[in-house]
Amino acid sequence: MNEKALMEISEQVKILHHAGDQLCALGEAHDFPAMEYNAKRLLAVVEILEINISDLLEPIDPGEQDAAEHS
Amino acid sequence: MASARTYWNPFLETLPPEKLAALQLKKFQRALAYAYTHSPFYRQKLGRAGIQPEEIRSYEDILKIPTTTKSELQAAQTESDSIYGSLCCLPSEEIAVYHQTSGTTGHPIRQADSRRDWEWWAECWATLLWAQGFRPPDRMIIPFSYGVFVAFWAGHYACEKIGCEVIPAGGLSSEARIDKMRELKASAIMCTPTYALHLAEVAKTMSLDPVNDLHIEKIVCAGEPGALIPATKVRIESEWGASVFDHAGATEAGAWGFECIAQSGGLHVNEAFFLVELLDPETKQPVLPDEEGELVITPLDREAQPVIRFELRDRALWSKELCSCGRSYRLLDGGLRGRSDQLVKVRGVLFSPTTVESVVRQFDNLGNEYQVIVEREHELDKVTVQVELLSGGDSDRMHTELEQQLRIATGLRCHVELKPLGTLPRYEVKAKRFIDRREHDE
Repeated sequence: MNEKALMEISEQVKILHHAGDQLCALGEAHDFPAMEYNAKRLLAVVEILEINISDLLEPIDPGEQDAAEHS
Repeated sequence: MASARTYWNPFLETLPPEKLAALQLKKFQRALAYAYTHSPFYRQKLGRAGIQPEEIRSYEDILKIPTTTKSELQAAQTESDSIYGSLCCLPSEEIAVYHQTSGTTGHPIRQADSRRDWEWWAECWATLLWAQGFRPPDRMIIPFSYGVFVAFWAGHYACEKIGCEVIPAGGLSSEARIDKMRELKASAIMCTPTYALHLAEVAKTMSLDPVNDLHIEKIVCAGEPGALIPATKVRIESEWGASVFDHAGATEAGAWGFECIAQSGGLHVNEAFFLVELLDPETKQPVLPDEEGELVITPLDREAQPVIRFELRDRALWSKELCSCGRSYRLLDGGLRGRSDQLVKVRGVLFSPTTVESVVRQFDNLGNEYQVIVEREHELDKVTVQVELLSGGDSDRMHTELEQQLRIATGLRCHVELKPLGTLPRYEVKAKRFIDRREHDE
């Protein structure tokens, strides 16, 4: 597997992260705990995918985690 | 030796050393900035040391950061009314699971883990199980009490993750566990080295031959360093007719080290997930490549209760060779070489109780258990090694031979007490085989 394949995977992981965030927000907005909490669990797994892949590709800004949390 | 699907993560595990080092540095910088921002404990600790996270730009800079001790973590929790004290980075609604250390040295540390942390624990274990050749349809029995100690919990979830069926054998006697193993045709066991030996002993009392009646193929050991002590490893392998793999971890740090299927005599450090340093305990500077040092660890991805440069107090030595498995993760030669807090002075000689294990387990006529007692008698330190003699063994000869071998290995005269089989304590987790009575004698 080469860097191109890595980037392709990383793109899919980003899409998944975005979808997880959206589902979580929708679950919260619509008082739908099954959606909200399963999406939270999904996001925990997505973050492990990021640890496996994305850290290799993207330079880490030490403040990025905080920025993401406050956005 | 690498073949298709050898690695759980083929990118990380084979990264060239310079890229791995660069990845570790950037992940360390992120972990430090996160701890500084979210952990009241680290904000205060780094503030006292006059360190701002953005000043850390190289590995040499990392050495400026003070290490973290277990007693600091204990104080941060016992001096607070909140459960996790000033160590916790997240609000309580974000904590998914509680564990605690076994508390062999003082008050147990309460460990908070978030959902992500818990996935991360399983991921660390998945990496090591995959490296040890565990694959579906392996059927893993976990004879573990499933209590407050993290022990094999994450191993359980990692088995699920990699597709190995789990038999959670908590709440059963050892005999019932053997029965379950037989009934369900378990192919692998996850337990401490001590308990692997104990289970074999129990199987024999049930008139079963572990090798021919139970057909276990692989055993993954954790909780104690025994699986890489050659005499102990050989003993477990011959008792079960199985391959035995070591693993190292700590509640505060995570599942950081593993022996791979190549079994090259060392323990890999999962360097994409952990920064491990070997330091001189006095100067806190890195030891030379051929020197033994104390292990200081930083988990690079932990969220709820991170530690930065945590002193594990285990002693280790970097291997000069890379493993034939093809991983670029470095090896600790011979695994963990004992704990600094168990290194005691006896009659002026530094004495490590684990040395006794490597001697005792070489004798076929001795049982699996032993106990070391140091006490003061007539103002002199006295070391007693209690072992169990198997029936039919020549007690006089064993007594003499064991005393001689212990003297050679430890440099001390050790008194040997031969006990009947089954009389010394048995342990499931964290065997306590070393008793120092001198403090009480004074």
